[in-house]
Amino acid sequence: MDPEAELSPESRVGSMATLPPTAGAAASSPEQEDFEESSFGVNPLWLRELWLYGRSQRMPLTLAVLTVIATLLVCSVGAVASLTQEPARVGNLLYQVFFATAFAWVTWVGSGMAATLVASERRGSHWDVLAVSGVSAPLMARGSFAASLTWVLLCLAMLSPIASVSFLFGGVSPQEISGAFLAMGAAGCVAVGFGTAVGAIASTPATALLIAVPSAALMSLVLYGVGFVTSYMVDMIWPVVTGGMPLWWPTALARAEGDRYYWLLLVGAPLLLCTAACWFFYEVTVASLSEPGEDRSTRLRAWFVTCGILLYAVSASSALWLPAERGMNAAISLTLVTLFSLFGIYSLAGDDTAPSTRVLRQWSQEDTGAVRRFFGPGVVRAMLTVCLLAALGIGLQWLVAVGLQWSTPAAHSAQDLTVLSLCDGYLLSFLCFLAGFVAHARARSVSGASPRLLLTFVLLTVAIGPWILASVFGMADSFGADSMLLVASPSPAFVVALAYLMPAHGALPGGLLLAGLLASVVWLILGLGMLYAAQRYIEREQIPLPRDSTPPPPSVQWI
Amino acid sequence: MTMALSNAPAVAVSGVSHFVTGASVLRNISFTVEQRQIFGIVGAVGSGKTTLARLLSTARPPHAGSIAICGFDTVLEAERARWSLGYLPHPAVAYANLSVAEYLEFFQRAGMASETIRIDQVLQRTRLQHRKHALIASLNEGQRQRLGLARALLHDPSVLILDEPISKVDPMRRDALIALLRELRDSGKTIVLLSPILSGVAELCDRIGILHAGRLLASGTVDEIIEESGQTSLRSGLSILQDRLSLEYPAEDRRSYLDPMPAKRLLSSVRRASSTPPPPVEESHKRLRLRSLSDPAQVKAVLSESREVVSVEALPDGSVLIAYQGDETAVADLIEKLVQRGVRIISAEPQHTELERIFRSLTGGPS
Repeated sequence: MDPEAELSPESRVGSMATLPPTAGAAASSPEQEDFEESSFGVNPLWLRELWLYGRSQRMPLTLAVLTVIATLLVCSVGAVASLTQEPARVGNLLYQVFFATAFAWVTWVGSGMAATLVASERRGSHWDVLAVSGVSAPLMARGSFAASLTWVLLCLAMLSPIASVSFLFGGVSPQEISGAFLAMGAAGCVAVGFGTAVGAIASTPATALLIAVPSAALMSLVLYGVGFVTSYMVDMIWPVVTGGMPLWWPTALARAEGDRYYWLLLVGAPLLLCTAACWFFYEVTVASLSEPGEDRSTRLRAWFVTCGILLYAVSASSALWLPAERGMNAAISLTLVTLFSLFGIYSLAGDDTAPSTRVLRQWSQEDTGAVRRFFGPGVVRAMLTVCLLAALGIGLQWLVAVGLQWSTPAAHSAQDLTVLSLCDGYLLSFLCFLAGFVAHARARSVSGASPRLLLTFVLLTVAIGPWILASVFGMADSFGADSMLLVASPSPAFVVALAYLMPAHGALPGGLLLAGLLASVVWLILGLGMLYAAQRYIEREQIPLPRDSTPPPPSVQWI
Repeated sequence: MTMALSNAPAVAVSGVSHFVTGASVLRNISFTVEQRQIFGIVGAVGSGKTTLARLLSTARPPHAGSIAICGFDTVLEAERARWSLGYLPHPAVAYANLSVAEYLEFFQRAGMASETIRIDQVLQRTRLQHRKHALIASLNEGQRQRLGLARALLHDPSVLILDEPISKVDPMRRDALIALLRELRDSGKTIVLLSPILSGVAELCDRIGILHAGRLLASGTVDEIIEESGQTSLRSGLSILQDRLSLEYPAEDRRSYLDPMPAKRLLSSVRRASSTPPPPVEESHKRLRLRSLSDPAQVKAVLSESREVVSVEALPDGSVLIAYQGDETAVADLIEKLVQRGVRIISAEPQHTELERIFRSLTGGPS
């Protein structure tokens, strides 16, 4: 029976007759999106939180206390420093102290605030009402993000007058202070995005807070340390930046010359990184807030593919910019591919085992194409995506290497290319194995937790297992280059060992080459075999279930 | 805004089962609700009412079976089903620091609210116009339920799923709420009402279902259930047996009786039950719940003089429960007598003692 045919005005019950969304429409149907945008244009959740902020008695108190503490801190540091230092140095010191404090506040409190807000909403008694009332997951994610970010920006606005103290001492320009506030805003965006994602995943607000704040604190401390270390490197490129000052980005942005490195490293890279991070957290939030039967995969997969292509393209093209450093470029490129693929495997391990009946029906109604379906729910498809993307990254890097070999044959030996090809092939096979293993484990589990745990165990075992076995069998004492490669051949350490040892070793011994090739073929066969087995298992166990009347076995997702 | 497939029942539940962490919460539930009816599902705490409400509202997909709202499957056509239903959870409202108008505006902006229905309309319909700018924190329970109803009515649905709308409301406000629900039914809405209390529900609902331990033990009109229970059938026999068990045996035995169990254990229970004399059941007595502004002791004193009155029990809420013999004339005489003696009567409601007894016998509750 066609529902559309039955929807005559006479068949409707009630008084109003506005057309509903089309059958099978997603949670945020086009009509609803239009309604949101055209009629009001403001995210309702954000608006609701603003109303609640307006009535909150704690908020002005918190902001006032924060301002007083920051003022006292800056004045104390300034007073102590001005006894021994000249004003310009005091200004610079105050600038660093103030923005380090602001950075900590923004990242710690912003993430905690966002995590609590979303988790309270998600686990609250009114969540069902929101879902049933048509509040879509993207709308919810955007609203929560905007509300938390508003709070963070309010804090920054309250703190802004105190920042001018460092300017008054000298040594810091207004552009640097503006740039630092921009950096704080960007850090706030990422921290709030992270908190929102954690809040959407966590089971309770307390859990969300316990995960979000320590993680954000740890990440901010690491970033602060990275800032400290990189300041010395930046000092070499742009001498206007003083080494040892963790907050160097605004200084470099304000004072460095606008060459191609300026635009690439100071503008393009931070912008891309922040956008990619915020986009990722947004997609994780949307996927976590979506209902079990909805398509929770496509958007996350789109992020993974887009960022992967961008990352691999940039890393491969860097070899063209710096052709003399081919070995280093290849190592960086392969490391990026490996890390990003591992990140993808871990992230996508929680994907649904197969599309729900609801999604299948939607695809059928919308006549969705094969490509779009490939990016839909399904852990085997997700892992295949990881493999294909890794192949693309490795292939791009290999093509660039071949191109350089062809264009400048005198600068590079043919053996380098052979080593590189072997490394590429081995890495791709090993990533295939990991993807297949995760797909196989996920097909037999109810969530992504156990596949992730098993993957960690397998990675550790494969990485250190051969060395332990070699030690047990007494081979450790006679470790030479050949035996190291032989021992490493079943583990990804083989690639590292090959890359580092071959220049010193000279010619490639056939036995070692064979061991490496054999190991990579085994990984590939195992990976593809497990992907196939996972797909067969899912097809066998998943399809007959949705309308069965028996209880679900614990290993199978129904919707 | 509301829509339904022609000839489709407002709610059709077929073989629905649901599990939470491996345990069964609902087992093979089936019922239908025709359009413009009020269907009440009565069950004790933990019987699965809230889970059923969530499944009916499309907030959760059932693990087995299917639910259709106005002909639209709640899993496959969740969006369309949602356009046809309004859901009032328990508790009814959140965000205590929002005002009534802000709360409704939030849902109007966020959800599927009708562009033709305005907040003032639903407030007028639910008689909350005078509290439009009050904070939700300042509303009493009855007003919160009405606000929840107003929110559920924002998109003018044809079906309302109400989870415990009257359970925490005091008797005076409960009457107003019941009157409002009747009005909604009369205006064309279908209402599925889930409640842990029988009082009031039986009078309000066109049909009721009795839910216990995840099973729908009985459903139909009040008369149908009473009639069915009175028949000399296996089911009736089991009900009576259960009634005795509920009186004489501990809760664990009663629970096990309701679950599938081996024939040997069933026979053992029957033997134990049959060896116990049945309790005195005064089925012929009718009951009347009387609310007045006078002292219950005064009411009791006046009523004790009447021959028709068997017993008078003062209830915690200030009303009195009168057990009497006779027909409606007897009730009229009693009320007349009370008024003559200066008792200021607010209301007099007949109580479905028979239905209550059946409910308790089916669910194993204390009689």
